[in-house]
This record gives sequence, structure tokens and C-alpha cells, in this order.
Amino acid sequence: VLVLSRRPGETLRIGDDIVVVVVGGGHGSVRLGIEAPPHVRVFRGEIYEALAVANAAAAADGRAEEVTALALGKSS
Amino acid sequence: LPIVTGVPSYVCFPSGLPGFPGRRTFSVETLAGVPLARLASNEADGPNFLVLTEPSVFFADLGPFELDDAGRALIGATNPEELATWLILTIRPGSVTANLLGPVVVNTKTRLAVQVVRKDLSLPVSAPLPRQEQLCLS
Repeated sequence: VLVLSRRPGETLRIGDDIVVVVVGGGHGSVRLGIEAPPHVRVFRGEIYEALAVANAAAAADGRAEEVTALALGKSS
Repeated sequence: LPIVTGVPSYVCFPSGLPGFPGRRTFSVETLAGVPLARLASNEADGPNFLVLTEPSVFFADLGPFELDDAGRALIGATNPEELATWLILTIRPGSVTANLLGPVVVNTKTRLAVQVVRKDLSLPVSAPLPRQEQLCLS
């Protein structure tokens, strides 16, 4: 893991088009501002994990017919 | 919530879905008689999702939410009437739940879609679907 020290107002650049600015901090938290192109979705880490887990649970790999049948009440 | 103006025959998630970053294009098959659609990845062994295409029928108090600027830019949303909100369902034996925290917003005109995060982070990713009998769900 790359670890850097930054002061409020200072920035990081990730690649050519993502900018992270340290807006402020203190009281056990840090406020960050993120500029990224629209296709780069920005999530809180735990929210991304929650959605990924939920999506994996929802995904019916190769069981499409089963799921459809369940939804239509045609399955036992 | 955005108004449903019809269900397109396919949708593309330009940024993928959390957990499925590479799966972008899904065919959309509506199911007769119920407000459901099946999203099937166009790639071999890709995931399928069952979505509720008219969430307000089951969740009347979802409340309004704003598509953020990045999301709007991503799916080309200019007219709110072109937007539809779908909820991803998880079906397990004896239970059907809906993801209220991360709905899918679809631009029915551009056929571009994005999974967004509601501002109320206390919303559940697996809310029991009320009145399941209306879907003939057992």
C-alpha cells in the first residue's frame, strides 16, 4: 500500500484524470473531495462491498430459468 | 422516484455493477403480467438479475432521490421522464428481498443504466418484498 502525508488543501492525482483533495480533518475523520470522470464511480468502501455482496447474492448464474419459474410461481 | 416510461429491450451499464465490473450489456426480458424483468448478461456465464420495474407498487414510501451529477453525465439523463428506477431482487427459497440502498436507474431513451446509492445510507440492501402474492411468489 502506498502511504502519503498530505495537508488540508493538498491533492493527490490518480492517473491523468482523478484528483483527490484533502478538504479537512480532525475529530477522528478526514474529509476528501474527489474529482473523477463520470465512468469512474466513487463509493464509500463499505457501501461498495455491501452492493457487491448483494449483487452476487442476487445474480443467478446459469439459473435464469429457475429464477424466472420461481418468480412466476411455476416451480415447486 | 423517476417515472417509468417503458422497458427497453437491452441496457448497458457503462461502469458495470459493483461486483461485476466487466458485465456491461444485458438483455431485458419483461415477464408477462408482473412488474418484473430479467436482465441477462450477453456474455457467456454472465450473471442474470431479476428486477422490479415498478418499485412504487410495492414500496410506496421510497421517497424522491436525485441522480448525482456523475450519474447524470454517465447515462445522459436530461429529462426526468425518461428515467426509470428498478430494484434488484434476490430470490431465496421462501423469501424475496429487494435492494433499496442501491437501485438501478435507467435512461429508457439512451438505454444506459447505473446502479446508484441512495443518500439515506441506512436503507437496506435486502428489504423483504411486501405483498409477494401479487407476484405469485411462493
